[in-house]
Amino acid sequence: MEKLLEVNNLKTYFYTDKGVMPAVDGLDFHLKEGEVLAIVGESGCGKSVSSMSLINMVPYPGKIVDGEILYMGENLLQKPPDDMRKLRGSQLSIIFQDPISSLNPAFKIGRQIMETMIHHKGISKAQAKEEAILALSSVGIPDPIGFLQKYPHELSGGMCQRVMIAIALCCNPKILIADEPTTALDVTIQAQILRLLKSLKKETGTSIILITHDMGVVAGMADRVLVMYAGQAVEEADVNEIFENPKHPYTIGLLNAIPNPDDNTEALYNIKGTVPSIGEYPDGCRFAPRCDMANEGCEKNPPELYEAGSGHFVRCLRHKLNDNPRLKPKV
Amino acid sequence: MGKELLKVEDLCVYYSGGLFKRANPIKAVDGISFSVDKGESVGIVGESGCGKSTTGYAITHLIKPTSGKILFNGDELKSGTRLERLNIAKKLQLIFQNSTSSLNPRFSVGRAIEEPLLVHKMGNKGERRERALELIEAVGLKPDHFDSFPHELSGGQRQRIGIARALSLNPELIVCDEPVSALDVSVQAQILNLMKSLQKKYNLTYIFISHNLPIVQHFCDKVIVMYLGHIVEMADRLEIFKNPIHPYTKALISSIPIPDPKKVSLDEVIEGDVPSPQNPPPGCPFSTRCQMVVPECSEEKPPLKDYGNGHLAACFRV
Repeated sequence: MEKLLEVNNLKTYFYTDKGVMPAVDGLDFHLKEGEVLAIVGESGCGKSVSSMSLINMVPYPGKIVDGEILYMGENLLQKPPDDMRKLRGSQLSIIFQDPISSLNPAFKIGRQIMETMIHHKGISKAQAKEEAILALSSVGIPDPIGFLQKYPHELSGGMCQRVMIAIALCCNPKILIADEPTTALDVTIQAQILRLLKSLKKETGTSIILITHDMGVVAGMADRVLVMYAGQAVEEADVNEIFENPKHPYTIGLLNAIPNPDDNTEALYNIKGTVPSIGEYPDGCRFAPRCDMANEGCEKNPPELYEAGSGHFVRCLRHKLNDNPRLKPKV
Repeated sequence: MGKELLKVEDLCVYYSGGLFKRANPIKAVDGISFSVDKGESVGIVGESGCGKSTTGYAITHLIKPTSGKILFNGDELKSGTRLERLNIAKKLQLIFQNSTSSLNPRFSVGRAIEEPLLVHKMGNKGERRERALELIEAVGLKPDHFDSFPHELSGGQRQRIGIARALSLNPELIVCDEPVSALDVSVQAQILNLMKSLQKKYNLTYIFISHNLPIVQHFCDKVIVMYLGHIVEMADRLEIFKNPIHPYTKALISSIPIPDPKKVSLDEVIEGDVPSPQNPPPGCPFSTRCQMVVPECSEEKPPLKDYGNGHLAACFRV
């Protein structure tokens, strides 16, 4: 598979009154054609900011200060704003966590879908209407013709997310960025949306960057996983490898903190402490203060990403030593 | 388990619908009965709008029940007068989902924990301070947090303060309304472990309201599954996850994303949305989404039937 998107040394900093906040601090990753890449991490780790950086829509006072984003060989960061706007929505689409507030409450659903197609494809209103009906039925909406006349407030959260997916996919984008697409939804609706994304991916061959904090969603959807902590990638590997042979103590901790149905132990494994605030990172390894395996070296030397196996990268000085039974995942 | 602590009998909570009261009332909770034994953790699970939070609030009389009885240690709880309300607060406390908005931003941590003692006119200044410090330590914070304000703390720390405040009056039962759903996974585990250890230490009884089934399965002894204001199934935690009877429970369990790439299946996904509680379907509330539905289901509401060992389910088709 060819590399569709390549991100090198991406740095997105926020310039606030309290100083510079390095939300994304030297991130490298790539996305192959037809692949689902999951970016996992807790709040504040920079996963959403990296996705906004990809479409060059970092909110003020944030700025991409360094790095390159290569989409089919072209650096998106050097594109003029007009060219970038043509790419957004047609080549690179995004769906957000909160589907109800992503839609404009003042306009009917039909208008909001047609707007994207008229803008990017340059087709007539009548054609756009026909295609909108097709797009709505492809995301499993019954009675798509009547649906065009509805307003967002008339729909449930799951229905709004289906509309968002229809809008995102109506121009056949190469890459779909899904930022926590199911977090605001109930489990049964989450299962419906995940199944829909999976089947649409199969039909259209769109690559997906799935941003989530739920390891269960990752297991069900992803081909490859990137674990982020404090603005950096700490581990990257194939999905089976991440679940069977995680190397970074943070990944292991995340996996162990999920309650396991077949396990009757009283206490859950927990990572001590909390995620450091952005900009208050320790000097050495950023995870060292919370790590059970950290030693003096970890507190002094910031680790690089090491290749720990084919396609398996880990940012830990002690990754070769993780035979500590406490750190073995339960699954 | 111990003796029966709380008994809920035929509890109904209706919200009047519409601005001019012409619309149908919203039946948030519609005739549920269950009991909680001392020292037990009972989980209430369901999707949004199923009435699980309303049940929790009605038990603590934060929302007045429309009808039905709530018996605590055999006495009926009433909230007519201020004295009666204070009396309830001594026995029943709540922990809320959003730790930020449930704390007064202008109260220091110490003040927030002392507040219930002040309201109940318990102890003098020194004793209250001592009690607050004791609780701060019990929930795993440091004594220097006494003078901090909520905005200086992380979400996990704020939730710990919510727990300390709930404990300050030595309640017997704590209703926890989604106590960990706003927290990160690694912090979630810390809070759940803390709540477990406090339960042992103070002999607490929990009613644990959550939409997260794996957490309920880990935390609770007994699980109640609610759908559209009704209890559809109730059983011990192992029983309900091993042998779910009601089709809704089965669907809920199969919708949980399993953190194992080799066990993934999205085959048994149920279609459709939860109907509006303002216009619930006639008969069985789940009949609109159920795959096993027969005409009988939409004629009459199925009663809860006992399937042995306290496993109750409300379905005609099993």
